[in-house]
Amino acid sequence: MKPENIVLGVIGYDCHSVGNKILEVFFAEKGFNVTNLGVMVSQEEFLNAALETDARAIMVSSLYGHGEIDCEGLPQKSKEKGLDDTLLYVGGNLVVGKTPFAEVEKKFKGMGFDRVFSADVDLEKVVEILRQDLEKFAGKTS
Amino acid sequence: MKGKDQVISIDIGSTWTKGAVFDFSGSNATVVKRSTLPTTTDYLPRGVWSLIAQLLEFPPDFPREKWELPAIYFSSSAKGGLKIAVLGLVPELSLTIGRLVAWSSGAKITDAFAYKLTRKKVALLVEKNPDIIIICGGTNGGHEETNLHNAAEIAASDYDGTVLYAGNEAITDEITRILSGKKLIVTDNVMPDIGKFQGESTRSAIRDEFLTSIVKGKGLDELVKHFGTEPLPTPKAVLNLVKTIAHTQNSWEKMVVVDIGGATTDVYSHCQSIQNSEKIFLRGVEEPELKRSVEGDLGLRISSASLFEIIAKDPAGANINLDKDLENLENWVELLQEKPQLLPDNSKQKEFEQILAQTCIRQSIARHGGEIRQTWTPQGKVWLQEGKDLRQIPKIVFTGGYAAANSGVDLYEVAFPTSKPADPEKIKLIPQKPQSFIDVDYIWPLLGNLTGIYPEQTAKLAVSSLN
Repeated sequence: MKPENIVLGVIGYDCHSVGNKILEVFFAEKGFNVTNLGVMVSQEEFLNAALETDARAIMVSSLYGHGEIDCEGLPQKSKEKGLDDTLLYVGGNLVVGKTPFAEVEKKFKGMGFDRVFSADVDLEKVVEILRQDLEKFAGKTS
Repeated sequence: MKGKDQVISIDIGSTWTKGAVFDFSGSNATVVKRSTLPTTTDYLPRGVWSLIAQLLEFPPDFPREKWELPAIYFSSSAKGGLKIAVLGLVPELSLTIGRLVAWSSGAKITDAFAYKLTRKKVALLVEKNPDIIIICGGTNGGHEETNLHNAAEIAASDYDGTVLYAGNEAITDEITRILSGKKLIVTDNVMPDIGKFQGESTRSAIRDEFLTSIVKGKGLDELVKHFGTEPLPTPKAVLNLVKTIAHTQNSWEKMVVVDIGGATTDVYSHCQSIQNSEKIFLRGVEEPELKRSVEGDLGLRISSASLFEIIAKDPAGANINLDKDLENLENWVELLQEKPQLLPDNSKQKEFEQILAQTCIRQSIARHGGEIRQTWTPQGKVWLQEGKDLRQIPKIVFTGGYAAANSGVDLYEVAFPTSKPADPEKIKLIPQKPQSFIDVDYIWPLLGNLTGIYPEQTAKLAVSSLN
């Protein structure tokens, strides 16, 4: 089976690069073909890269608390670009303050993201979910 | 009469066939003689033979069998030069890289389309009859559908030129099958990963294609047979020269060349695309060290109408103050359309010529260079860069007929008179007070043909011939 392509990056004006590098190495070790766009990535860059690489998933990180405004509209633009089969994951410190994670998750799912993760999530769990989601998708389209 | 270290270089342009005899016997190469004749478009070799006779001072009745010829190298942009159409996926990514590769091969781009071709676009594409259609897009192992669709559309069309596939390599077999009825060349993906430029294999395939099929039918194959040398597309000759100078001449590693012509203004640059800094982040494609761009709407004769449109939109930017002047300029441009060979002969016309040329220079350099904008993040101030950073360029060379006629003028200074108070948030990445030079003898395109045999001497002569 060929490795699945995923696109990774930190959205908006966010320069946090350490976690981004960790995610790149981690997903590559798990057998994914990772296109890492690095930090300060715009919505358009995520979508253009996903289109050229035929990515199965876009993994958006945000660490600086402005995730909501940066991510707004991304799922809709993704549909416009024809990326209907591309999963949209988002994770990190998505909002400022101590909002309960359940609320954050609800908000971002409402925006159209498929999965929402907190900053302290176990990455092994994320990979497990990603594989399940990709399988579900593959079952749907074939 | 002629030493054995003499060579002839010829450039067959769309209007003029230019040539010169160079002497490489001493440590410094010299120009022995230079000549120009109209291009004989119906049969190119006729003009070339007349030019050679003039360069070598043969009497008119001297039979050609008796001619003793030195080595002859040549380039051609006759009959529209090398025409390429580019099909890519995303405009900011693969299509941008595809265009950069075509330009740096010395081509003229007839069309550049992103995403899937419609029937209407196929018709437009085929009508212009490019020598080569490049299909690119999709990283390796990435997007497939658009290229398969576009290949099928080309396969079904009556296009009979060459198709060059330089996209996602994972579908090469399918592409080869779909285009089995066409002349197909497959090269490395021009964008193997997001934003990565990989043009070498495609450029060399384009060069081979230029030699094997494009040269035929324009009479150039006859010259190849006689000279025993192969022609270059004219812009490719200039690219070779820029590269050779940058690699061999002290203090010339970073440079820009602007060629202001009748139909287009071409800009060549040699420098790193981005300056190393932790505070600068690149958006989009990382552009190559050696880059060429072509502006089809900026030219002093054939393209003067589109050039006038640009000036009319912003007369103050072009240093035109009076409405009446604008009207007179329009009349002059109309005249140029009718008679492209016209030269300005009074002071007003000379001023108009200067306004047109300044706009070509200003616009073409601004488009060749990128842009950087400042932005604040919670971690402090950073810069976002798009395109190539030309601010580090210390030297700029102007070539072409207009430049040669304006020796002694600082054309850069004239085109960018006072640096306006820059917008601190958004900066055009153009050269900052570079030293200006003019190719006064208009020999750079000719020297470009000789970099393969006498690289260092050619580069040295090119630099020392500047004014």
